[in-house]
Amino acid sequence: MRKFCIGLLLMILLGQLQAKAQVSFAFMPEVQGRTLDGLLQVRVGGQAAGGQDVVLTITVTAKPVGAVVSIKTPAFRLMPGLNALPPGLLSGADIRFGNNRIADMCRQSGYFTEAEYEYCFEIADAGKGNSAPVLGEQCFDYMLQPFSPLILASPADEDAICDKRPTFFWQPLLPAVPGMQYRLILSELKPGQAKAEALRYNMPLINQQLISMPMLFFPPAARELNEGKEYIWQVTAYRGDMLLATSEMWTFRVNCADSSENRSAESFRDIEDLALGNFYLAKGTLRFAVRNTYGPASLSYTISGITDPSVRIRKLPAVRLKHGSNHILIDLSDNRGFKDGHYYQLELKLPDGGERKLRFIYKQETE
Amino acid sequence: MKSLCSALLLMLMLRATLLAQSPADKKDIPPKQLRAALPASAPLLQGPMINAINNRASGAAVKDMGPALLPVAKQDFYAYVKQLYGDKQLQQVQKGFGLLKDTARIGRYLDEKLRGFYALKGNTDITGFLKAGAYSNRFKGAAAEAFTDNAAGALMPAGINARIQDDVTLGNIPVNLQFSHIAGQSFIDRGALNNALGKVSFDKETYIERMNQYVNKAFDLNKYFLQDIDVRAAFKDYADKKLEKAREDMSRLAADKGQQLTALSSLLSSDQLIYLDSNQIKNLVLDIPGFEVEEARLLSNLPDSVLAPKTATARRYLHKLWELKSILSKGLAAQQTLATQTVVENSIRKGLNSNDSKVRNIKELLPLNFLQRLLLQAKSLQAGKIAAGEKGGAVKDLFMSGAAGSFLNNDKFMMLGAGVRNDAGDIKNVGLNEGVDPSSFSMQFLQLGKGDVSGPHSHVGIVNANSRMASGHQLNPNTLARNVFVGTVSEQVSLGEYGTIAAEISKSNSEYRNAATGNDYALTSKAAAFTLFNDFWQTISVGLDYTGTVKSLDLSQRAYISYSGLGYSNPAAPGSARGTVRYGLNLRRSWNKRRVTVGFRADLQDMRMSALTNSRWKNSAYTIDARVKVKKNFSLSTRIGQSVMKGISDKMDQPGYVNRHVSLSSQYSGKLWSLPQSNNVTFSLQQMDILPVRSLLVNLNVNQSFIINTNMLTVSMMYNKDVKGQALYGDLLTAETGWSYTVLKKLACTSGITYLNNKAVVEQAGIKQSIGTELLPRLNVNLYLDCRKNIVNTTQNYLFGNFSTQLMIHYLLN
Repeated sequence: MRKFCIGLLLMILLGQLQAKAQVSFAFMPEVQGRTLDGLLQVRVGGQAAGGQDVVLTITVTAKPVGAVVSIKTPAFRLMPGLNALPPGLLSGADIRFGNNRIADMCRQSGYFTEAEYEYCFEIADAGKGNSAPVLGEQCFDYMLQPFSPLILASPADEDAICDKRPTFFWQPLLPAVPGMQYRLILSELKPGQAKAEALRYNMPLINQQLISMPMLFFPPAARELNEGKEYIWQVTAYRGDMLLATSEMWTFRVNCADSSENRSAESFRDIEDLALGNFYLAKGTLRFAVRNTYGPASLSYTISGITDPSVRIRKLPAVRLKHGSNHILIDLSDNRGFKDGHYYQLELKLPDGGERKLRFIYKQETE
Repeated sequence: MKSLCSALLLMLMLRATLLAQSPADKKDIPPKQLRAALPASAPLLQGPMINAINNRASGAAVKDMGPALLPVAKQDFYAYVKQLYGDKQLQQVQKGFGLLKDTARIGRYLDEKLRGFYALKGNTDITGFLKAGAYSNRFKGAAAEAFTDNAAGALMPAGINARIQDDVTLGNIPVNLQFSHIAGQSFIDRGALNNALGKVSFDKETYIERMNQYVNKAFDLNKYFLQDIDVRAAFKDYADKKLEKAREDMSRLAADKGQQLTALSSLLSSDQLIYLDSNQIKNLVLDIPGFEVEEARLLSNLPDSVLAPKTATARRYLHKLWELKSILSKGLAAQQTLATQTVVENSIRKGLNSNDSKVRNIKELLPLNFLQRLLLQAKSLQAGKIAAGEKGGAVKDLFMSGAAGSFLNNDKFMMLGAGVRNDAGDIKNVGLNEGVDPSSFSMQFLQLGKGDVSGPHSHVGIVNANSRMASGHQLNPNTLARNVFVGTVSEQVSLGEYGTIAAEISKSNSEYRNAATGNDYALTSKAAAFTLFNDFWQTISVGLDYTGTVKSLDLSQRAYISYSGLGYSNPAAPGSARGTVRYGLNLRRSWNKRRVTVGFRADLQDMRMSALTNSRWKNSAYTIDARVKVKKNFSLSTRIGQSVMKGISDKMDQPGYVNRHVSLSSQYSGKLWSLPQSNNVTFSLQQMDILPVRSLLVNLNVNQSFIINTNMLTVSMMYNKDVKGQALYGDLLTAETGWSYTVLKKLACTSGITYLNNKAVVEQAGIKQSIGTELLPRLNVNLYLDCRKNIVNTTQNYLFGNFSTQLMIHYLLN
């Protein structure tokens, strides 16, 4: 009997406790407390079997200024377990903003600025007017520091780079929130394509998540980037399945050939024709075709100045002739003996003993 | 209301000051002036043209009838107008012909039509071939790609992308259709990504080309601009005839005075009549041999009977000449016509191929319906999933499903659009279900003003946006209903050779549904447009941007500064800053034919955190880079940079992030062991502090390739080490070697071996293969495969997968 009485008492006590803690709230001020719309992601834990019609009031106050905002939702049905607010519920909510600068900024941008906040959530029974009993109330305190902007660093915007497997860097999103990670997307930007379109229409070349540091090596298994093409990239900061911040879209171009040798496809004309004609124009290089009826041999040739006969041209590259027709390309551009616009004469001694003379004007290649 | 007025005034003042600075730098004759300068409005050119038409109509040379069409020619002309432009236009033309004193507008209209008729090639049936080519379809190409990637951090482990492009022409209006379907497995859900994107865009360039072809097919444009008529000769001819008539008149009056008449008729030639002014003509008359006329008497108003007969004759002749002179000088001064002929001709010739004149000719010559006429003024029109907005305006980098268009006519610009933005559909947001911002808006925007958006302009723009509860996938299923309105004034001024300055002021305002502020008890839902000037300084954004070049110094520069209030919010510009002051400088200069290039870049950004105190995030980034082309095939470059972020508040400064780096790289191409080769080496040191972690990293990157016969051998290596041992991300070695070759003449292949070692995280070795070929003409197939064996693998490895493939099929028609 005694045991029974104690048991009954316990049950009554527990029942009472249960009644007081009928409703609980799950809220993460470090992410959800940053914006007005973030507040609405609170999860409400209900316990009444079969559900219960309730009204939620969210009140945010900041330490130095007082009331910032208060939101009262229309009635909704709270089911047992953890409930997200029903979609679309908030379009009918009442909103009251405080009369201070923090509230003004929040009203205009939807963001809470730096302050010490108290977020209070209150669930009351709906349908009982103003004197409705409060079923649960919970407050969260948080010293809020707004996120820094998410700024990209390298490759710089609109830069031309040589590396076909560049490493990407950006500035971290601060203050650090536990569990925060980054995503990076890289796509090709086709000529004439809008940036916003390139990142949606084109197949991403990199689409990486779970990045914990503000940098990413070019994935070794991915195909390298192509010379001459333009690319666009963007970084997103997220936590779990929540989007926190998005960077700007930056572009860069892979342009490496600029500094390496770039020869246009000029034809090789026969030395016999050239020798007959007038001055040949040598744009950095001498090009001609020659027939060699003998076996492989080195071509013996000299170049002398016409404009300035005193100039002595040395260090000319060695040229090997093979049997048959040969396309000869003699690079003159790095030889100091050649001056832009000066006249020169090339003398060739072919293996068959024949001699050819070619007069030419040297033109520096424009860059 | 008061604040609204004052702000409007402020915006207007800014516009005025900017306008005042814009120099008149147009050297070419603007189209309007060109039209006035065209000989069309000068009656003397109509003569030869009408003669030519008369000749054509009657089939034989017809004597000059004066400026009137022969009845046969008139019938032909009416038939032409009726066939091409319809009954209504014909009535107008007939009315124009009926009215002797036609107004300038009718005159010009008539002139255009008449010139069109004159320029018509034979009896071309324009409506016929306009109809014939009105509908067509051209398949432009298709591509399909499929890939797999098993890296742990790959957002999409497998996916396919199909793209189709097609050109359709409907009623002579070319439209470009573009579809892209990206579908794939996301890391959480097999069917998570299924993005079907498509858009329809009006192809302006093809449209103008197409219509211009019709114009050229049907009309001889040289004739249309009367360039086949020698203005000088026509003019002289006209003057000759008039002079002849004056002499005839004189001879009738003074029939008996044979000698006098000879003196008069040899007095001046038609050339003199054209080039001499009235005073010079008077002097000639004074000097008529044997007349001895006194100037005072010649110019007197005395009746003829009082004067000497010779003086009276001379006076009568002088008055006739003056009258003639004034006829010739009417409209365009005679001399000017001759002088401008060359100018006009040149600008016509130059302009004949310009877009503006093409559009003008099409408008004047072809029978167009309303839509075809409207599209001539369109710059772009597109609908579907589209990007909207251009640099300098309220709308920037927006992606939406909707429609947008821009128009430019006579330097008047208009852009408008409407659509829905939903960030949840982006590829980069796959798998994200929540966000702190509203991610979906429905919006409308309009931008109006003078000048094209890409050139000097002054525009006013507005954006109206409403947050939206999307039924499908959304990042934020619950948002507070709000209305955001943004007003923008943007101005771009050309400084000629010194560059351009762009200025922009933008103001936003947000209003919530059922909201009250402060002590107001009544909850209201206001439209944000009506309270646009609330919280003025906190919701304004101002920017100035200068770009320019100094050619003589081979210098290009950019400087910018912008401010945006802490409450600024513009849903049509997703990346817009809030609470920031940004400024920066970018300089690049080359010396010695670009052998040496040095660049400097500084970007500073302060972002306010607090509405009450001065605390803020302070960012700075500086870079200096230099490149020296030592030889044609050898260049060295270096880059030194630093970026720092600090949190600054009243209480304390909080160090956030420091990244400093120095790099040196070389590029060399030439011969090594008699093999053509190229080589690229980069060495860099990098300090990276994300407190409390401090790293010092050494990076080395080597790429080497040799050409052996027609094959290529490549070797590349990347090594990265954290000297301080913090291993923030360091200690990575990747090495790769590849051999490119051709099999069966058609298959271009590359085979390679790879090795990767990230200390204590992962170690892999594997092979790489790619095959590319043209299966059919225009059909390209590419296969890429990267396969590795994990020697060591840990759970920390999110980046390095061991199996990655890609198959690409491209079919292109151009």
